[in-house]
Amino acid sequence: MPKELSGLRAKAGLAMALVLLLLTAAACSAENAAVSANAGPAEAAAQADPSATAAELPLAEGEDASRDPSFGDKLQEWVQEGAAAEHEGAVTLSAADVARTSEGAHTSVGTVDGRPNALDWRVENEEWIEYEFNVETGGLYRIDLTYRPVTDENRRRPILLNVAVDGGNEFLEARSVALDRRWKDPFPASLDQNGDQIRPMSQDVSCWMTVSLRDSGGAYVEPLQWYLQPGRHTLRFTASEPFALASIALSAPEQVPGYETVRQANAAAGKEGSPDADPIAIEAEEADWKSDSSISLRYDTDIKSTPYKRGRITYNTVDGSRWSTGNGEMSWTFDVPESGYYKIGLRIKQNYSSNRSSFRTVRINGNIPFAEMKAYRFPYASGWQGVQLEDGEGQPYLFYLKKGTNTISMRATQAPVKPMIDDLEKIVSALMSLTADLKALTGGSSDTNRTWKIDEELPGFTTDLRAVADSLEDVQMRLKDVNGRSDAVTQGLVTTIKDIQSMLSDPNRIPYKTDRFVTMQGRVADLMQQLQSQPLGLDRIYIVPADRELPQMEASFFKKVEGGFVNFLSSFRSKERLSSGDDDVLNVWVLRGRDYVNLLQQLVDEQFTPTTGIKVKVNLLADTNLLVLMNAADRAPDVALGLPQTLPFDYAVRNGLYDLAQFPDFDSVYKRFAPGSWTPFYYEKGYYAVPETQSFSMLYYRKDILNELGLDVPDTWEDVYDMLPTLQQNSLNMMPVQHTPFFFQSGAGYFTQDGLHTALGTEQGYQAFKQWTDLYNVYAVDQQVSSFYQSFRSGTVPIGIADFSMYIQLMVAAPELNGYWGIAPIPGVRQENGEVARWMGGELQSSVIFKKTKKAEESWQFLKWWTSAEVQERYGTDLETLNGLSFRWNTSNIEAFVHLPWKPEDLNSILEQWRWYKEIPNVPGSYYLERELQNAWNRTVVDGMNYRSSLELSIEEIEREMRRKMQEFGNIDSQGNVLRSLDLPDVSKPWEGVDPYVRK
Amino acid sequence: MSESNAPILENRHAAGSAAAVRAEGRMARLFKEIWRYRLSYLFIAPFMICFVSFIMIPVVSAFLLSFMSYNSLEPPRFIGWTNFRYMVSEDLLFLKYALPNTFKFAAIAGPCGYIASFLLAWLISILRSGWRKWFALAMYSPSLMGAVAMTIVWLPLLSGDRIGYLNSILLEWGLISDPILWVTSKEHLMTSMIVVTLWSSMGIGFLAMLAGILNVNPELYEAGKLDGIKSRLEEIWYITIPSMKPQMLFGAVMAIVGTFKAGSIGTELSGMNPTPQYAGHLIMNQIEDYGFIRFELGYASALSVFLLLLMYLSNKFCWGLFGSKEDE
Repeated sequence: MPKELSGLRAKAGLAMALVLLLLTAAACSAENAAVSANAGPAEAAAQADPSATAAELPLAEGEDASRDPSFGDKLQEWVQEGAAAEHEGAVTLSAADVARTSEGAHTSVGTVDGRPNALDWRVENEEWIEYEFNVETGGLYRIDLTYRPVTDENRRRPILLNVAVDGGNEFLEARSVALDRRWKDPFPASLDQNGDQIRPMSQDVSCWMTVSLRDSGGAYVEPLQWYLQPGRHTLRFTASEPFALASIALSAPEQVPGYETVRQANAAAGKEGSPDADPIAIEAEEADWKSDSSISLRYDTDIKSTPYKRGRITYNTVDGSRWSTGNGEMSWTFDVPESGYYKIGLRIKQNYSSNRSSFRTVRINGNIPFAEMKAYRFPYASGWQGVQLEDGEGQPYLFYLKKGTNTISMRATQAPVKPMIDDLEKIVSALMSLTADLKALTGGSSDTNRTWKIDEELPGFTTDLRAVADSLEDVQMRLKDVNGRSDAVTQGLVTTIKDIQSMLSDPNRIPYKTDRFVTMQGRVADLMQQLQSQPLGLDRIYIVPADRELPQMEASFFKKVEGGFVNFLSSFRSKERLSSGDDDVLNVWVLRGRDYVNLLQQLVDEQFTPTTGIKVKVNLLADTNLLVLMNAADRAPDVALGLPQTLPFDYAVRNGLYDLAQFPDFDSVYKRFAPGSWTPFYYEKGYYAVPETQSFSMLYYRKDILNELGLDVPDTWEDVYDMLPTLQQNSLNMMPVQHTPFFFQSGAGYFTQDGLHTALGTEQGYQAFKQWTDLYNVYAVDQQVSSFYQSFRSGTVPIGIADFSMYIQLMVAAPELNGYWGIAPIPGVRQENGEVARWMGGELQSSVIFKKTKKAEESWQFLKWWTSAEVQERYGTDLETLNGLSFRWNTSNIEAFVHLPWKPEDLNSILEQWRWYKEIPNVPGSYYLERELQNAWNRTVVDGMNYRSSLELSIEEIEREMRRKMQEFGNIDSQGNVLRSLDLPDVSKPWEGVDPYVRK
Repeated sequence: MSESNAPILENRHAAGSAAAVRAEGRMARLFKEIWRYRLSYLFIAPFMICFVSFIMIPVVSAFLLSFMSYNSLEPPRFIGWTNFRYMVSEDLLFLKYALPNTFKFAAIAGPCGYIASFLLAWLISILRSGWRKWFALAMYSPSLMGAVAMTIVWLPLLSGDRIGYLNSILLEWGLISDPILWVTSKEHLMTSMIVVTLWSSMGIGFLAMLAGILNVNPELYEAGKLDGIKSRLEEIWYITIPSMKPQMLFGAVMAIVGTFKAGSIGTELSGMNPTPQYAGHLIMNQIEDYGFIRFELGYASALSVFLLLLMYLSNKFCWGLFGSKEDE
């Protein structure tokens, strides 16, 4: 400990010295500038230049360290080295012959699901197994695994493998190879009271499967390949999900011949004739299996969609927007009455991105029948369209099918656009480094009174920019070619090219437009992201004998009119009514979106009602004010979920809520959550709500920018103050900070322990307030930043404290920053024992039981069920699998939380912050605190009032309001004598409940 | 009309003669009377039902609630004049901010909006009739757009950082050296609120005035010319305004009601509730603050009753200005 401490101190000292140095340097240069104000920009540029080169270096290094080559690049390299794709070499390993494992790996050999001598690998945390084998013929090998996932209720994600050959990942994609599960939607779907179908919940039907290892992004049609020289090799799999493995086979990648070759071969083999049979129709939604549970079904109300039931919800198609990424694959089985040639027709909907085509790999009986099916193009159309698989001249491809059971499968692929995606990625990083150059030149300010000579001051800049424009043009042309016509993405690229050209037409004005670069970069990254999605909605597949006509697949005009009319009429059916007072069911109102409500109802019907026999009706509550008004009208639910954090208290003091601490097993629920997340729900020895979700605040920082400036991630506020001058010299700044960390970390708190007075007036309180306002007054943090996300993306605010929504936003909407940002626990105050106290809160959502309920026991049972780790985890996983990453469920239940798919390093930071989680308690009149603190801030920071008198004014106001409210609720009498004190719970130690979950 | 007049007279007569009869008999007679004129009652029923259920009952219950302490969860408790006493003696927020702000806001936004809509209506009325409706539509559209316009036009325009349109233009022209917090500083919030309200105030009052101006009998102008009116301004003053008094009154009432009713604009602009240092705190905000944040619905009702009174008085004032004397 002491050693570490002294190290830290040394570091802090170094940092201080550096800051001092920089400060003096800045002062000197400012003096210089003052002396030779008209020395011209050349000198300034000369000063800026070294920093420009310095700016490039760490970036380049970072790229080298973190980015392996992609499979495509590596394959090319191997082929150039002379690796043969066609060879006879093959190796088969039994999974039981493990050479080594990681320490304590949970492996055993036995019969699994009917297959003897299989390796049953019950992974806990992270483990690896290693095999050794001999290769006789050198060449490219693909790896086929025969595996069976462990299937149970709580496992929904694919198994992710890190595949290392001879101890290393040869390419990026090998780091995480997905072994998919197989899912099936049970049909026929059950109906609800209205006669609408309930969305079937996919079931895991995984069995023993043999697949070639593929990249998980769906970027290549071919499986992943490794170049193996003759000799001894090792193969190591690292996994974090349990599964069973039967065998591993290495062989040469399969070669798929072209259509003509296949036809001739078939003809030579005497396969002829168009059978005399009826067309076979396959309902796309009733697939045999699908590789991902998030490929969901959709009810389509087009009159020609099948099956179709007037005015009722029928899940009759595959949702194209969900079947768009990765290796998403669906497979169907059908019976062929007679052998012969068939053609394939599909009723598809591909109207997701204007004019952009989607691609699918079509496989018949597990194999790609001919090369044209590797990535078949489905063009864009505004509505449903009937297509047949055909060649460029409109001649249908003919598939030879044998009599009996056949399967057809379709897999999403982005292979045709993958090279362009790679190029766009390079363009984005080129634009990024150009932006960095430009920023280094201008020092971040866009002073329009200064004249630039860009070619002298940044030699090579315009050439590089022109090169970017040229390669964009090239990508655009190729995309158009692959897509068949220009689309939304190529149009976006054209706009960007025009932007660049207009800038190049007057290059000396470029330095004024640094922000344009950020926009362009974002736009290109966004287009790149779009290219990765390959949506395709599917209603039916037709297998039709070669010389028969395809059935009519699009609705005629009159049918369309009829369908429109039916839909219009059925839109009057009301489905949204808040139910209450129904004695048979438990009424639950949820202040969340439709997706959340539906999923909860499903989960309740599936798990809660069968085990407890309690029927539950989940309703959507649109607005909290509705709750007040409904209460006034004497209508209340039994349970309400998703309520904002202050609401339970307001209802509790007015006798509207049930005290949960009355239940004998309350303690078991209490332990599920951090003590700091209970404080807002406490009133007079009772707890009136259960935390549901919590939005923890974290410190977000841009790795690249901090690196470039040589700054470390701040650990304490002192570190923050040290780094601010450096940031500001580079025209960067930090995001404004709330008051919570200052008041909590100084130990002042907000209310006295008896809860009758505010604690702001203590000496610590004044100090905390001073610290908070000094951040703006002394350390010149901006008073207002309109959007942290935008400023963070553009790099002008590379560091700041923000909550969970920022995390989601960055993950989902800032693909170009992937790997360039990180999160850390927020800065704190070093304690005497060397620990850094990082107290901070975060918005909570809560669930409550209403006092008027007649079913208190049932309600409590429901709440216990709902907040339990298993249910929270399941709900969070389902939400994300159904709706995507942006629906990440930030549950307050720590055990469920850690099981959601976080990045390990992020999770550890979040958990460290979680130890210090504490929210402001509520007392009568406490709503006044926030607004008066804001007012005090406003007076001190905006109006420049002395911090002490400003806070005094606020304290007076807060005390007045608290006194008034306390009198109303009988805590004190009209003379100010205490009748009942509030005894607030004391949370002054970090939560130890976090410790078991921290991964070392 | 003449048909319905007769029963009323008769009714009055019948009621007078029945004064001596016992109460029960009177009630029975009243119902009988009503039954006799059931068709007339049927005709006024749709309006009466709406009026009673959406205006009468709420107003009366607000009036009753203003004498109670009520928090929406527990049953109301009668407390007499306490709410009103608190309002005039103790509620500092109300006395220091809400009331003066509301008067300031109403005094500037109301009349200015009113005059502006009259002038615009007059300007548009001069246009050729083909163009007129398009201009009227364009002028009317701000009041239709409301919240949407707020988020996509005004918020970026008035944003307090360097990127805000207004700030960046002023900075570029060198008029200011630091960005101004248009919507979060207490000096500028009120001004911003008034400007935005003026922009969106071209509501129904404006349309009424346009109709009024177009309805003025053209012969009057001719007669005026003969009588020696020299300029357009004199024409407005001596002919247009006097002959469109009803529309002027309507416009004035709408303007007053509109400005008193405005409340959300401050919170929408500043993004804070309540507004920074209560700079944009109006009576409506105060009502919402007490009603939905502090759960004191009784006091909130008392405030609404006060607001109602205020509106009534200002309506009286408008009648005084524009009401036609002959009718009284």
